[in-house]
Amino acid sequence: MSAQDFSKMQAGLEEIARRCGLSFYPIFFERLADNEMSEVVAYDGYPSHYSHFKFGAEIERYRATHKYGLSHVYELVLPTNPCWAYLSKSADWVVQKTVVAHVIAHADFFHNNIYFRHTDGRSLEQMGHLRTLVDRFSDEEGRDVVEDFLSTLFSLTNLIGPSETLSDTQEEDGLEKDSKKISLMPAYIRDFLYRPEDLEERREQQAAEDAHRSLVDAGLITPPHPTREILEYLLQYAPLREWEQQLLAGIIFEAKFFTAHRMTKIMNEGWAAYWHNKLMIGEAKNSVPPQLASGEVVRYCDFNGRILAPHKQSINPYALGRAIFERIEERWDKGMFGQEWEKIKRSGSRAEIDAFDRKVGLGRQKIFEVRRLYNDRRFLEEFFDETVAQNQKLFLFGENSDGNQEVISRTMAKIKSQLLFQLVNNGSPTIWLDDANFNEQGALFLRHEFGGVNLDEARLKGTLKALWRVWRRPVYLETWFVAPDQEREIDVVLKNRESNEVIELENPGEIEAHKYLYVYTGKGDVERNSTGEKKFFPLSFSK
Amino acid sequence: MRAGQKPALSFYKGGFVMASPARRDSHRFRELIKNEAQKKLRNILKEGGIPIQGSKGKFVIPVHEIEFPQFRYGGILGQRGVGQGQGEPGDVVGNEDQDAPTGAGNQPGQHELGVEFSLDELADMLGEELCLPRLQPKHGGEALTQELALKSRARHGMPSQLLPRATFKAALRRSIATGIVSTDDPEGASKVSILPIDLRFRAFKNEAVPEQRAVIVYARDISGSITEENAYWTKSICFYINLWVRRYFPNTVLRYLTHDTEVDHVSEEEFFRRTTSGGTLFTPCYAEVQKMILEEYRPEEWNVYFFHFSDGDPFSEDDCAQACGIIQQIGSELNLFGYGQLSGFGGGMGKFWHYLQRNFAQEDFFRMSLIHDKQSVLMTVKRFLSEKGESS
Repeated sequence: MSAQDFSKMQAGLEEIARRCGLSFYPIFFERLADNEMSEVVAYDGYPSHYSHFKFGAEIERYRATHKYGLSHVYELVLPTNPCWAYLSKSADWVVQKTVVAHVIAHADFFHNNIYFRHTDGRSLEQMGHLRTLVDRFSDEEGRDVVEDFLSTLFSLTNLIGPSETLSDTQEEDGLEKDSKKISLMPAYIRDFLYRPEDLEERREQQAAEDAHRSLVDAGLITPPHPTREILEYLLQYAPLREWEQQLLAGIIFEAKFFTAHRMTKIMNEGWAAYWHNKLMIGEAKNSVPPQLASGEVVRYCDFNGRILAPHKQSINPYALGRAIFERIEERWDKGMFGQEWEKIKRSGSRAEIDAFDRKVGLGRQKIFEVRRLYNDRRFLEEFFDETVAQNQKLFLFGENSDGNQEVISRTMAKIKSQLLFQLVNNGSPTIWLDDANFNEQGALFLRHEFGGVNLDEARLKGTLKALWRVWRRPVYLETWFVAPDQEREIDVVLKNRESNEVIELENPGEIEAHKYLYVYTGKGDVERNSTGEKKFFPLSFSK
Repeated sequence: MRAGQKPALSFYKGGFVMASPARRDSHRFRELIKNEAQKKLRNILKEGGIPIQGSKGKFVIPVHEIEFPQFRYGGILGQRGVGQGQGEPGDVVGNEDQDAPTGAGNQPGQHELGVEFSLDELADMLGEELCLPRLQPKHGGEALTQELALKSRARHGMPSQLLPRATFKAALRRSIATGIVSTDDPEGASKVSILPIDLRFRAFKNEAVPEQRAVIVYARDISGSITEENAYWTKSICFYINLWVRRYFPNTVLRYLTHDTEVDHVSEEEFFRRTTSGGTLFTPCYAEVQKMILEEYRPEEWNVYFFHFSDGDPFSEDDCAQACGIIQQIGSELNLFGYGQLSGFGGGMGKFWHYLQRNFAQEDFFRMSLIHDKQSVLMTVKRFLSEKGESS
């Protein structure tokens, strides 16, 4: 096919997509051969990416899996303005057409989803800046030294705390602001609003806060409050040379930047899969003409089927995301939300539920709203239901006593809990920096917020060593471990944040966990000390 | 930026590949895993095997992935996941897509990555691991290939290829010839002016370069019955010999001979498979090699490597003596003659082994090795290709 044919096809699809309500920056396609694609994928699509052997390994990994037909990346889209997209040249015409439609939906997602707002569409330049830094420091300090330091930092990229878009306003200011407000109130209003004992309590809290503040101000407590922004803290206080600081700042930027991708993978892929299907086969009721010629339908179905094919030991984000979007559309079309629906859902018969239809037709509007405001976690928390779990034939699997992976359950609640667990904090454990002057010896004290799932010990040790490389003082980590034989008894249970509804358990009980303190002092190996403390955790954890 | 306008970035076809640090990073990664790959190759050799074939004549060696450890969930719970498909609780989940990420993480170092190596890279690793010496061409090659080289001069060319010294010489010569400058004038050089006709440029020229060619002749005695293992080991040994010889002689021809009492030219495939029963004579085989050297692969043009594998023993003492006579004659023409004794039913060494040892043990071109188990693959490759006396 010629370049003109391609542009014509692209323009046609874009026009229809805009008519459907998608909005996006101009899209430019770079059509690549397969070997070039492997390099593009390794660098997340950024030609301006910095250099490190890690990406050399990525190239090999892609080549290896690609060769055995395990994965074929057809496209890659950058959240830039204009929007750059890579396309595999080796694909045939129908596939390319489908992929272009798919890419348009991705471009729409990047343009509109709230979690990509901070990138300003300038990520190419931002990555380029990081590359300039890495190149310059490699020249000045030596390539090996810089490479080594970057390797260290790659161990810490998940210590960046929750996404900025998610985090609330600074909590520590709340109390003080309140006290100020109360002190400015006329006495009669104050007495009307607060009981004396409440005021007394507040005063005590404030006093404790003030005492704490004075210690913080005197430099005796740092960080002032436990923080999850460990990398930010290291950037400010670790004994780093200037070039190390600049690289750390760059890596923090990069880690936060790619967090947005990780937080929205299911939605983004689902959205694209939903729309490429709609654009390809058309939609009679909204007068969207089909983009497939009659002879192309079989090829399209084959390709689409392969995209949506189930994975046995992982979820397929295309299929799951699309299924949830379609479920949302169905529910909001039929008005399956609000009080009336909740009542029917709780107490209605099967037939009543099936026949429920208020004919409100808000489906399309709702999915556009969802694609703008949600991330994967909230998306699943709110819209993943029995219908989706059943249609997608999802199951929870895990290791059995023989060491094999077996199906554990098909209960919606357990599947949902597992999915949410994998999405909370992007599947990383929650680590707090409690104290950076532990034992008065300038040691870092980290605490794992234990929720029933053990940390991987070998990796934990490696990470502590990497932290020492940056902090140059002893590094402690406090965590809990559940014995393996007990582990099988546990279900990870997450509370629904919005409705506060706890997923019901078949056998609530308690499990025993033991507390350990790991320390690395820069010499020898990481030490593991049992504190002797043990605790019974209830069999339900809220996250 | 207006829609439809191409932005002014260096993003043109192939632009990504040129701009990205891919080549450098790929190279660095390979450098880092080379040691491990080399050790793996040694292990494969020790088992008597050869690496798995990859794409386009490359070979795959699995190495551990380099991991950057992070705080991750582990244990049994940390590796749970959600899957899709059929199955009731209690059913084992098929793991055909093991590479797909499951749950939150796996043990570090568990994953292996098959990295592809070209024949040259593999040969270098083999050489380093077994401390093999470079192969030296025995004779200066006479076969000529044409190679394009920037070794000529022309009066026209690209500015970057201008030869200032030659240009000035030409101008000076012209100036003297036309009488503008006198040879007696000490200031003469400053009066030379360079005209377009004086310009001299570097230019391409087809140049004949001597080329090194090699032929490897493999011969195998098929009189005894060959076990599958023996065939496999022989195959491995041939693979590594080819690998190493090809590293130094890119134009290498492979010839395969099988013999019992008569000698046949066979294909590579047949070479490892054929068997007959009955007696065997070595002389016809050696005579055939001699003939090939005289007629087809004259030593002035070819580097000849000859390897003979036998699991039998010649029928008579006469045959042994005759065969040794031929080796005596052609020995100086050969780069290398290796004799591999495959342990047959009788086990142990035959008459011929002793003949060879008696006559040629001190000869520079001669190597011998006994192949009786999988470890002997490594030993044989090392013995055949090392300097004399270095390993025995």
